Amino acid sequence: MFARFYALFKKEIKIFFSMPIAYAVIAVYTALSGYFFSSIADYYASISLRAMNQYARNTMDLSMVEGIFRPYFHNMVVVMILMVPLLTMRLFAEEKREGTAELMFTYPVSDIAVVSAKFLSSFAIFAVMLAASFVSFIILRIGTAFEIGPVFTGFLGLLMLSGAFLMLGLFISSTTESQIVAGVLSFGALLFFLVIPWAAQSATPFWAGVLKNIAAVQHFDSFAKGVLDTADITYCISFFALFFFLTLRVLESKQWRG
Amino acid sequence: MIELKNVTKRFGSKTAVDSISFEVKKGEIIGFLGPNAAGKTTTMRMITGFFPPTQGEVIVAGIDMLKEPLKAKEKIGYMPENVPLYKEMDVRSYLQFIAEVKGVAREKVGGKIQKAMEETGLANVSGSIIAKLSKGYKQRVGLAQAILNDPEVLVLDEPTVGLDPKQIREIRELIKNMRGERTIILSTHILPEVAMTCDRVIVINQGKIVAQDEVKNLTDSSSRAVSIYLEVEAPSAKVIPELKKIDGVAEVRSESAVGEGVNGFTITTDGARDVRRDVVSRIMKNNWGLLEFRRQQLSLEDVFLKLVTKEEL
Repeated sequence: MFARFYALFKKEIKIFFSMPIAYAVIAVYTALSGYFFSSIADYYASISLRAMNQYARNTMDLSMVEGIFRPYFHNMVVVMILMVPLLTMRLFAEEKREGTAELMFTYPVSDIAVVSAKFLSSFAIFAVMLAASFVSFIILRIGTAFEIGPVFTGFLGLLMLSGAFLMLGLFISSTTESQIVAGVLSFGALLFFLVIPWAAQSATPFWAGVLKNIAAVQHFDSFAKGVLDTADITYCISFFALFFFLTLRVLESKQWRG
Repeated sequence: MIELKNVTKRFGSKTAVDSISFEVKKGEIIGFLGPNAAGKTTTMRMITGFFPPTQGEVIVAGIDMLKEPLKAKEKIGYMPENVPLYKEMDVRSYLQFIAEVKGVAREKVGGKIQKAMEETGLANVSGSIIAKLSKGYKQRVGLAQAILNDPEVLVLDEPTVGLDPKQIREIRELIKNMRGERTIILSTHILPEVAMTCDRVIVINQGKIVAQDEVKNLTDSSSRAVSIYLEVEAPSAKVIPELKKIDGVAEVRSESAVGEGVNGFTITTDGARDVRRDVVSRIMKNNWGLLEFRRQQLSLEDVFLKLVTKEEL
C-alpha cells in the first residue's frame, strides 16, 4: 500500500514542478522572507544602537527574539496565507474538472491514500520553502551570537500552522471544480482565522475567550516567542484533523451525488 | 467475468439505472448501446467501482465490488469518456505512475509499460508531453493505462468518440486484437461500431435493459419481415398491382425514378415465405427489364431505433 501512496505523492510533486506557478510561489515566498528579515534586522540594529547610546533608559527587553524573530515570524504567517491557497487550490479542483478524478477513484487506492498524498506533496513543498528562508538565520548567526532555540520553535510553529492551513485549502479544493473559487475561498477562510482576535476586542468576555482560542495568531504567537505549549500544538493538530476528516467525507459524497 | 444483479442507481429522486441484471462471460466483447443519458456511463462507473449502486450487487472477476473494492479494482482497466489524463506528464512517466498506483510489482513495471506501449502503438511518442499529443494518440494513452496491469476486465466508455475516421479504425483494430484475452465491455452510440467489434449487444434505454442478444440475432429476430429493393424497366402503374398479387407480399412502395423509364420499388414481405423467386418470374413473364434486385436486411440502426422508440410509446 505504501508503494501506491508514494506513487501518488511523486505524481503530485512532478505535476507541481511542471507548472510555472511552483517556481513563482517558491521565489516570491523566499524573496519576501529575505526582505522582511533584512528590513526587520536593520531596524532592530538601529534601535539597539540608539538604546546603547542612552544608558538612562533600561533596554533589558530588547532581545533579538522580541526585536527580530517574533515580528519576522508574524509577517511570514501573513505571507503564508497568501501562498497556501496557491499551493492547494489546484489539487482536487483540477482533477475534478479534467475528469482525472474519475479515473483515480477506479484505481485500487484508498481515499485516505489519495488525500494524504496530496496533502503531503503540498506540505513537502512548503517545508522546502521554509528551509530556504532559514538561510537568513544562518547568515545572521555567522556574525552574531543569539540563542537558536526560539528560532527553531518559530519554524516549528510555521511548519505546524502551514500543515493546518494547507489541509484547509485542500478541503476547499475538494468541494469545487474551479481552481479560482477554491483559491479565493481558501484565502478568505485563512484570513478570517488570522483576524478573529479583532472581533474579540468588542465581544463579551466569554465570546472573547472563544474567539481568541479559535484564532490562529493567538496560538502561533507562543511559537514565535520561543514557547512550546501543548495547547498550541493540539490546536494545529486538531485543525488539521478536522479538515482531513471533512475532505474524506466530501470524497465519499460522490457515492450519492454522482 | 462481470455480473450485475438487480443493480439500481438513484441520484436523489432521479433513477439513473433501474434494476438491471446481466452477465458477461470470459473473453466476450460486449457492446453497451443506448441513446445519450440512457444510463451507460452510470452503469460503467458502478462496474469500475467509481461509485457503488444504491441497490444490487456488482461482481467483477468473482470479487464483490462492494465488499472488497480495492481487490476488485485491481482486475479492471477503465477508459472513461473523453479520456482524462495528466496532461503535464510525458507518456512514459504517466504510465510509470499508473503502473505503480495499480500495484504492478516493481520488477515488472518496465516490461508492462513496454508491452502496453507496443500494443497501443505509443513507442515512438514515449517521451512526449501528453498535452502535445493528437487526440488519437491521447486515446491510445488512455487505452494503454487501461491495459497496463493486464486486467481481466476492460471497460471502455465511448472509446472512439471525437476521432477522425482513420483513428477510429485504428482504435477498433486495437480493441478487436484483444479479443479472447480480455473481457471487454464498451459503450457507444455509434451502431456500426458494435456490429464490427462486439460479440453481443446490450441495449439500454432510460435506465433499463431493452434487449440483449448477439448482433446477428438481434438484426434477424427483431423483425422477420424482409424488404427487397428492385429497379424495373416498366411504368409503376403496371408494376405495383402485378407484384401485389404475389402471396406473401405485404406492400409495394414506389421509389424515385432511376432513369428513362426505369422505376425503383421496395417490396415489404410479411416474412412468412421467401417471395424472391415469384417476384423474378413475374417480371420475366411481363417481359420487363430487371436492372437491380437486392434483399435489404434490417440494419442494426433500424433495430436500435425500434427498441428505443418502442420504450417511449
